[in-house]
Amino acid sequence: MQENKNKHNTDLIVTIFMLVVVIVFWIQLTSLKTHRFYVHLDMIFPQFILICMLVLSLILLIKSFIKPDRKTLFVITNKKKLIIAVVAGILWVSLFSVLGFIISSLVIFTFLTIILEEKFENNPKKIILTVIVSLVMVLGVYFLFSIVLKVPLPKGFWA
Amino acid sequence: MFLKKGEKIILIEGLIAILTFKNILYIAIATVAGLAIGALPGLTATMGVAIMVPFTFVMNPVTAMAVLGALYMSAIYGGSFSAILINTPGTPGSIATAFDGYPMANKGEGEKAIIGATIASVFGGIAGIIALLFFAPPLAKIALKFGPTEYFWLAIFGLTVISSLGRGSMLKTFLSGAFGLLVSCIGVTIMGGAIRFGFGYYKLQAGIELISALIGLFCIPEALKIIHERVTTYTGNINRKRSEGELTAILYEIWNTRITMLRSSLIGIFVGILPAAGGTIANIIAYNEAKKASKNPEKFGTGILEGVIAPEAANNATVGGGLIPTLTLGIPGTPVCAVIYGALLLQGLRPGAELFQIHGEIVYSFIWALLISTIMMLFVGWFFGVKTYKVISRVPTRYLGPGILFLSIVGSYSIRNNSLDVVIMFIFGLLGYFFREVGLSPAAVVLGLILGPIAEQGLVQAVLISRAMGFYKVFFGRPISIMIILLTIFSFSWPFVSTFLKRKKKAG
Repeated sequence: MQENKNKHNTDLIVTIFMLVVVIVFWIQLTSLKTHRFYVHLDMIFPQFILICMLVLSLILLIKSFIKPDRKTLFVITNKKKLIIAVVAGILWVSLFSVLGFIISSLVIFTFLTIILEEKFENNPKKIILTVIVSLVMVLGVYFLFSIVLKVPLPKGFWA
Repeated sequence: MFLKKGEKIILIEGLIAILTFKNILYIAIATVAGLAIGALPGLTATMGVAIMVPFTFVMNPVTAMAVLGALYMSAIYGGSFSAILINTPGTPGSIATAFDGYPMANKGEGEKAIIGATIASVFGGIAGIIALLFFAPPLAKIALKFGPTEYFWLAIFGLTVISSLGRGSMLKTFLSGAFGLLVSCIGVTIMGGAIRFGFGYYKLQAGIELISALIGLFCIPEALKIIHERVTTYTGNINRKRSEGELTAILYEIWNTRITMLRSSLIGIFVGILPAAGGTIANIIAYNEAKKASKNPEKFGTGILEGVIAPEAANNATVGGGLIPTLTLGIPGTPVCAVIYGALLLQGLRPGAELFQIHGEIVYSFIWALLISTIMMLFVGWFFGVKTYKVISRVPTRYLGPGILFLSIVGSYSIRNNSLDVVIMFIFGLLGYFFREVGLSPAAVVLGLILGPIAEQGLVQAVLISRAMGFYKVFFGRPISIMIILLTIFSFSWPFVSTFLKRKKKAG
């Protein structure tokens, strides 16, 4: 009984998600500002897809009541690690252009590799090794992309 | 169809021109560089070849074209490395390779997957080059008969692949595909030039960059999974020593997939010839066809060799296929071919019917360079691939997880040097994590993203033509269209028909 309680109706979740997508995109489509001669041509394809999505979502909704697919969602072995990784990822993405490639990557990559190791136990040797690995990784990628392949990576606000 | 006497002489002259120490050395360097570029998520073959073009200015035309050709061929193959090893297609042409390649690596069969991908890529590459050498003019003429309607139907045919991508609910897989199609509509409209689905954010007018979405959908969920779940990189037994006769058994298993390899190569050649299609579509179609033809379709997606062989043979076959219209008609078959087209112009060579006659020696030496690079791939790829597999399996997960995250960010940024692509990549990453949990298919989303623009452009142009010529005549009145429609019906209904037949057989 308890086991069944933890299981979620994934069909219903998908239906709700897709219906929200259909509504949001439909509203956007109706406000499309284009030349009146082209409006039909610009709308025909997305309209067709939205109708298909609506029909498929409604069929899935019916299925979710008749024969639902139940599954335990987000079975996470280490919740703390996952939250840290997601937050670090968001920070990384946000600071990538602001702080520049080298600083943002060095700080967050080192932080992540240190935080993900559970057996440091104040072992300075391991921490130094992690910092060196991060440094080599970040500078190696910088050398490959920016110097060899001439891909301009962000330098940050002080550039 | 086959070469005339004069052409045979030029063919041999081309071979002699390419066989110098300097050219072979350059081809070897370009092959290794291509492998690295292909293996890094975000760095595509198109980008690699485009970056290399300025360096070829100072080279003579034979060496310049040889370097670009070798880089192109090996970059397409290099995409399979990351697809197999970290479940991240290095290039869009290796999307389907990840479906079975990564499960193979995960259960300790990464070496087998790498060897299979290498042999299939070499086979596909050579098949494409043979088609380019001997069948270029007639095949190019067929490609010219493809109009907007045919492209529309081809995209619809490609979408039927969705029916074989799902491992759970078919409904959810179709919804995933439709979601991908819808997202592909974001950006400037084809006809009116208005910003569609911009949500008031003008930067979205450039649309969703396919590779950013691809990296996000495949890399981020994997990185998060490694970070919170894994103690070791792969779950299978990696460090065991290869037993005596195991390599022979692997080679024998690859030999048994020769029909799949041949079929996939033909698909690759044909899809490569069609302008704007290329390896991105060919690998998925080849995977789908291999699954349909297999006696054990249910095993696809669980980590079987055929699932790696089919897409890898197809994507490398598109190299030769794509060059057919580029060299003979001056119409690039793939995005990389468009860059090669530009490089030819820079060297003072105008692609078209006269190219083979006026600059035959350079063109044939270019084709020979492709062949030499493909053969080099066999040794270089095999060695590096197997070594990389062993190295990755030993990398602690506390480095691997953040490492994938790091490469995803750099890769998505480097496509257009745009910070928004990084944000989009991460959003798609989180969406991909959610999709996997609720049973939606990230692969179907990617397929929708790829085929959406082709389908819409074909549809809109065909609708415009139909205003003058009539709807039925345009959509259902052309022989090639009818052929594709029939193939589409067959492809869509086959999974249902085969299940029905199997049940009937069991009951009987």
